[in-house]
Amino acid sequence: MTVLRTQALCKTYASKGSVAYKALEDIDLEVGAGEFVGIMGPSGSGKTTLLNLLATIDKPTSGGIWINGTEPARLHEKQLALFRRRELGFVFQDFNLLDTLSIKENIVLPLVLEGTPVKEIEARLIPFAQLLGIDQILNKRTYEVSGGQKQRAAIARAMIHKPSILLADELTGNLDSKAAKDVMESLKQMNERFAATIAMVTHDPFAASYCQRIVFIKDGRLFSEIRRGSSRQLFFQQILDGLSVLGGNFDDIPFARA
Amino acid sequence: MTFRSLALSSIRGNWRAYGAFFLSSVFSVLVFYMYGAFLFHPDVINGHIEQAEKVRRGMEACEYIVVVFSFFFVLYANSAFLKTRKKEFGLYALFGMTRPQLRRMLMLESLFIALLAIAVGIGIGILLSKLFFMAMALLLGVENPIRFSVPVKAVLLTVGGFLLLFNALNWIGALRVGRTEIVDLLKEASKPKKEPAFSIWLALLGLTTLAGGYTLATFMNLGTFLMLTLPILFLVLVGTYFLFTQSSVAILRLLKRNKGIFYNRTNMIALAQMAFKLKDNARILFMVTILSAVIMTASGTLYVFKENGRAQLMSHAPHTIGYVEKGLDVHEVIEPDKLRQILLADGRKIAYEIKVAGIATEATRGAKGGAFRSGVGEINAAVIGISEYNRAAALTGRDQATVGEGKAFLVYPYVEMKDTGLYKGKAIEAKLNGIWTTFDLEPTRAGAVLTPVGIYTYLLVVDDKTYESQLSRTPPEKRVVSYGVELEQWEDALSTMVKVKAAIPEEMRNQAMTNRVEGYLSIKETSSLTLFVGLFVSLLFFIASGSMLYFKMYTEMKDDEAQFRALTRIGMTAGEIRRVVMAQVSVIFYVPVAVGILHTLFAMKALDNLLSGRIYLYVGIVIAIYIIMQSVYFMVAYRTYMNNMLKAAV
Repeated sequence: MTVLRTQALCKTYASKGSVAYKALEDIDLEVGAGEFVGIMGPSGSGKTTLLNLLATIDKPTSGGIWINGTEPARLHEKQLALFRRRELGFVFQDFNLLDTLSIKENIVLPLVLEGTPVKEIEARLIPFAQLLGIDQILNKRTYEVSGGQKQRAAIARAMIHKPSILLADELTGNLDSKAAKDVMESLKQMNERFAATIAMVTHDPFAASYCQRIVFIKDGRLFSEIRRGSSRQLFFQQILDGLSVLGGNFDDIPFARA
Repeated sequence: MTFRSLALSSIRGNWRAYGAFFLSSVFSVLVFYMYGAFLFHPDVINGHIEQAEKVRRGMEACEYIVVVFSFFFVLYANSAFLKTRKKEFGLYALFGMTRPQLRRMLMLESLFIALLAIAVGIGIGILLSKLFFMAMALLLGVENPIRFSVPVKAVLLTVGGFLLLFNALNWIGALRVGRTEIVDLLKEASKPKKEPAFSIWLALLGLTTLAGGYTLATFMNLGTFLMLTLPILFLVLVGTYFLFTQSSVAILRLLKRNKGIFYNRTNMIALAQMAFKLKDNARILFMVTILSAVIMTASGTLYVFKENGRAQLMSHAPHTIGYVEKGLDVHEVIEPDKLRQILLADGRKIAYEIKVAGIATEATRGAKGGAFRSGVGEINAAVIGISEYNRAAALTGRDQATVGEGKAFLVYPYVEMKDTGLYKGKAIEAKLNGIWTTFDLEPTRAGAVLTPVGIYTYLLVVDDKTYESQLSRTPPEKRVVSYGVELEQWEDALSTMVKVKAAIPEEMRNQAMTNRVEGYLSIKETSSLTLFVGLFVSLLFFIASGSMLYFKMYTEMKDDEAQFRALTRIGMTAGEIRRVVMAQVSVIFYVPVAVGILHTLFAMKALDNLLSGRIYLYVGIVIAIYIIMQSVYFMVAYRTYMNNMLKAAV
C-alpha cells in the first residue's frame, strides 16, 4: 500500500527579476506503508523544499502530492492544520520542544490539542516512553535533559498520535555521534515495532544508513536510488559511493562516524 | 560609518521596541511643557489673570508628579532596555569594541533619543498649548481668551530638566554595562527559562495581606480614617506584590494539577505559558496595577466630590432664594413683589414660591432628663405645624412626616449632623409666648426643607392643632416668616442673584440666603479644574503603564514566534493560535486592570463610609472609561502580536 505519492512535483520560486528559479522539477516518488526512506542530496539540491512540500507547509507550483489518498494542496487552511496534526508527525533538527512544558506534556501535546480523554493520553504515552527510553525523564523540563533525550522525546511526540507518515529533517544534525546513534536506533525501532512509515531528509551518511532505501536528488531532480541489503556497514559504503557520484558540497558531513 | 551613525542606526534597529517608551517620554515632556507654559505665561506671571491663582498650586504639584514619575519610569525603561540588548553588546565586544566605546555609544544613543523626545514633546506642546489655554480660560471663567505664547522660561525648564533627567539616568545605566563576560552576554538571550517557582507561605501571605487590607478598608469611617489609611496602603501594596509574584503562580499550578482542565486542548499551552509570563512580568504587572488603582481611585474620588458637592449644597440651601422676616407683613428684607419684578425683568422663571409662618421659641431647655449636647448652649427654633412641614418637604423633595398629638420633632438643617445630634432626650421644653410648654420628642430629622437662616436654622415641628392655637396667640408682628423662591435653571442665574442681593439692605443680609448659585458655580469650577489638570497626569500614567506592557510583550515576541512556528508545524490551527494568544495578551492587559478595579472598589467602599451618596454610580463611570481605554490598548497590542505570530507561523 502506498502512503505517500508525488507526481510530476515542481516548485518554482519567482525572484524579483523575471528569472524564475526551479527548486524542484518532476519529482515522482512513492513511499509504501512501513517503509523507511532517506532523501539525500548536496546543499541546494532541493531536499528541504521537498520536505516542506511533504510537510504541507509549502504548496507545489505544479504536480501533486497524495498522502494516504488525500491531496493536501486542496485543503483549506484550517483543514490543512488538522491534516498535519492527524496524518503527519514531525521531527526537527532543533527539536522544537516548548520550554514552558515538561517532557511529558510536550509529548502528549498533539493528543491534548485533539481533545483526547486524559486516561487515553496516559495509556498511549507509556509504551512509547518505555521503548524510547525516556520514561525516567518524563517530568523533567527541556533544559534539564540532553540533546539525544530531547530528540527522542520529539520522536515520541511525532508518533503518539499514530500518524500516516513521520517526516524527519536532519534530526541528528545537532547531536554528537553517541546521541545520534541512540536516536537512529530509536527511529529504527519505531519503524520495526510500530510499522511507522518514515521519510527522512539528511546529509549524514551514517544516519542515512539506517534507511531501507535512499533517494538522491541533485539540482531539483531525482538522481538515483539505492536499496539496502542485509548489512548496514555495506549500505553505508554504498551511500558514500552514491554521494561521491552525486558530487556537490558535502563539507559539513561528519565522515568519522559509523 | 562613523561612531555617531552607528548609534543612530542602532536606535533605528531597536525602534519598534523603543517606540512605546518614546511615546510615553514625549507625552511626559508634553504635559510638563503645557503646565509650564501656563504657569510661566506672561499674563499669569504679572497677575493679569487673577483666576490663575486657583490652579497654580495644583499645577505646580502636577509638575513635580510628572518629574518624579518620569524619573522612575526612565529608570525602569533604561534597565529593561539594557537587559534585552545584552546579546548585541556581547557581539560588539566580540568584534573588539572596547568598554569605553560601548559606553560612549550608549550615551550617544540616549542623548539622541532624549533630544528627539524633548523636541517632539515641546513641539506638540506648543501646538496644543493654545487649545489648552482655551480650555483653561473656559474653566476659569476668564473673559478675554488667554493669548498664545511660548514662554522661554517654560521651554528652558523643560529642555534642561528632561535632558538632565533622561541623560543622567541613562549614563548611570551605561556605566554599569560591560562588567559581564562576553560569553555570558552572548548566552543571555538563549538561556532557557526555569520553571516559575513560588513559596506557598508567600503566596498565602499575599492573599491574606490583601484580604486584611480590604477588610480594614470596609471598616474605615470618619473616626478611624487617619489611623487606618497607612496600614491599609501598606497591606494592599504588599498583598498586590505577592499576589503577582507568588499567588498567581500558585493558582496556575493548582489549575495545571487538574488534568481535566490542563489536558483540555489549547489550555495546556495557554496555562503553561501564562505561568511564565506572569512570573516574568510580575513586577510590571504590580506597577501597572498600582498605577491603575491610583488613576481610578483619584479620578473616582474627584468625580464623587464634584457630584456630592452639588447634592450637599442642595441640602444646605433648599431654595435659590430664601429669607426670614419677623412680622407677617413687614418685609424688612425684601418686598415679594419687588423680588418677583427683579426676577421677571431678567426673564427668570419661578418654579415655585413658599411662605411659612411660625412662632419663634423664646427659650428652650431640657425636659425629663433630656439635655443639649455638652458644649452646645440652648438653641432656639421656629415652631411650625406638620402640614406646613410636609408642604415644604414635598417641594424640596424630602420625605413626608407625621407627628403624634401633643408631640414634636426637631429638624436639623444639615444631613451630616444626623449622627452627632445637638439634643438628646425624650422631651424638650420650649417657651412660647411667655409660657413654658413640654413636647414629647419623636426621632429627629435631618435636612433643610426651609432656608436655614436665623431662627429657621432649626425647626420644631408640632401637630397642626398645637400649631394653630399657638399661632393664634402670637400677634402678627411677632410671627416669624420664612420665604423661599425656587427658580427654573437656577444654575445660570448668577447675574440675577447679584441684583437680588443688591436689593437687600446690608444689615438684613444675614437674614437671607442668596448664595446657592455662587456656591454651586464655585464647586463646579474647582472640581472641573482639578479634573482637567489631573486628567493629563492620569493620561500620562495610563500611557506609561500601557507602554511598559507593550514593551515587555515586544521583547518576548521573538521567543514566542519560534514557539508558535513549532506549534503550527505539528498542526495547530490559526484559530487555536489565536485563542492562546488572546488568553495570553488579555491576561497581561486585563489582570492588572481587574486587580486595580478591585482596589478602587474597596477604596470607594471606604469613601462611601466617609461620605454618603450614590458614589458607586460615579465610580462605575470612571471604571468603565478606564476599561474602554485599556481595551483600545489591548486591541492594538493583540493585533500587532497576532500578526507577528501568524506571519512567523508558516
